[in-house]
Amino acid sequence: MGTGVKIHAGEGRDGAVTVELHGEDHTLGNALRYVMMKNKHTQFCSYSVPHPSEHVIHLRAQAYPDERGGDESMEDAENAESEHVAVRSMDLVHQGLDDLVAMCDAVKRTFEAAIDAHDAAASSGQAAESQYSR
Amino acid sequence: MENGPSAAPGRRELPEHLERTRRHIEIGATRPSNVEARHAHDAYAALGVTNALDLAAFERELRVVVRSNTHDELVFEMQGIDAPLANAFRRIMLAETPTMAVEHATFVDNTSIIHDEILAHRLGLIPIMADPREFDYHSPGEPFSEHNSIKMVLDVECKVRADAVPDAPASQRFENASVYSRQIEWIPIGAQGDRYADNPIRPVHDDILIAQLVPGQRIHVEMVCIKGTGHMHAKWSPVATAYYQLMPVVEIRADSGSRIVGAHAQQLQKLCPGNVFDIESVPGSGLAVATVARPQSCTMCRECIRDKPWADQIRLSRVRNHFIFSIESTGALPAYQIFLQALEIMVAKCTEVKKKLEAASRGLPSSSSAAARTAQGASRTGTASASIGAPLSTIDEDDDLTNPNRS
Repeated sequence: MGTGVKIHAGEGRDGAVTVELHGEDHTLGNALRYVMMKNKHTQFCSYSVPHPSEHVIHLRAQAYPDERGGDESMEDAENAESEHVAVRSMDLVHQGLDDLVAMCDAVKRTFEAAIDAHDAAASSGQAAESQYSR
Repeated sequence: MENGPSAAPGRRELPEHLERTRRHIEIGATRPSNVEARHAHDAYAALGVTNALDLAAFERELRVVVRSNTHDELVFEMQGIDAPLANAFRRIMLAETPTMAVEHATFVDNTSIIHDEILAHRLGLIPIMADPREFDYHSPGEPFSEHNSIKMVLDVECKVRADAVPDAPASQRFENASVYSRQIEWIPIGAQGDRYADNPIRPVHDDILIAQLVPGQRIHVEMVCIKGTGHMHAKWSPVATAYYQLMPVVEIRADSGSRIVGAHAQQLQKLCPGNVFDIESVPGSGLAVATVARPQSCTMCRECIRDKPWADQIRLSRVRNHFIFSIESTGALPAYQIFLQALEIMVAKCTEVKKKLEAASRGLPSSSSAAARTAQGASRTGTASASIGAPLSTIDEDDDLTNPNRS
């Protein structure tokens, strides 16, 4: 469905990035925001649908600035910092996508096991009962 | 960036009153409260409790219980998943899971009283028994082939039966007075006839009334079905509906001091339209006490918490992360397959976006190290996924992906 992405990084000094995801909507937007909020490196994450008739979402992410590392050769401390955070903010998006895939995999395994268990119980004549029904 | 099984395990339990707000949405007499979920990883940081994602714990605590599973309808409970994900699955089932449906209708003849446009729309809405996974999407301008289309013809003419008895109802005197979906004929293209010999392509239901005719009227229409999603038009949605509700909880408060007994209990039982309450007699005491027997029948009508005397003794709520999914298939796909496909489509979306982001990152002037760091991130993730099992699909890191929107 999607037709491309656009990354806006390094536009501010806070190291936040905004990603335009074309062809996506609340389905991915809210799920991705949710899973990124659960990442302990996320300081801020949100998404918006700028216009309801345009099929695009904007996802903004900002990592915590405290954990420095990696490129030590940078001279300009402030620029280096914000640039470094921007890279880490992008990492949040990638990690969020990976986490979503992993969660879907987990749901798939659990769901298939439940279907198999239900079918096995049904074929052996037992009514599979919810453990929650009283 | 590690936020998985490798992270230091923080405490996960909250004090009782906070755990209640974390798990339940309270239903009051006039309004629901505590509706907002707290998803931020640091929502409970002040208490030393982590709210961060733990994939291993997520899978361990995820519960799925299937209540009923037929071809047309699946009802199951899923506990331990949060609304943004559950809602994504629901939305994908409705709008992004493909099926085949009539898209082009060419009218050779239509002398019925139904206009071409209306009839074309009706034909489009007929569910087609064909596995959409075996077809490609048809792009505008592309020729129709056996891989991206299904051809069908409906050719019916209404006539007076030779043996018609005068004064009999129209359905007996006339041939084809009613046109049904079973009269739609599949015209195989190429090798389709052999490929689907065991399970011929046809409307899912035989008895969908398409039109009614009188003698002399004729409908002759040639149709082409293509693959599509509910996003474009609801006729491609594989579900009649797919919805979830949150698990209802009805409690008689233990802290209210007294039980609901005698005449009050009987009143309460009568009052509840969902028949949630039972009356049990307490052995030895001669007391008849109201009990919550069927909480799942509760529709949250709130009749029981409107008035005293028991309004303060009953507590209604919903469990925030316990979903009861109902998936009603149109018949083209088994209901449980629709859910599985939704999961696969979600994974495909994530993988596609990730690829595009990686391609776009390489073009960024300001962060030369972005690509390297991204690759690093991907490899770390690979390890995390492997620790909880084989991933559904792996991320393809090939470089030839071009991004039309790259600035």
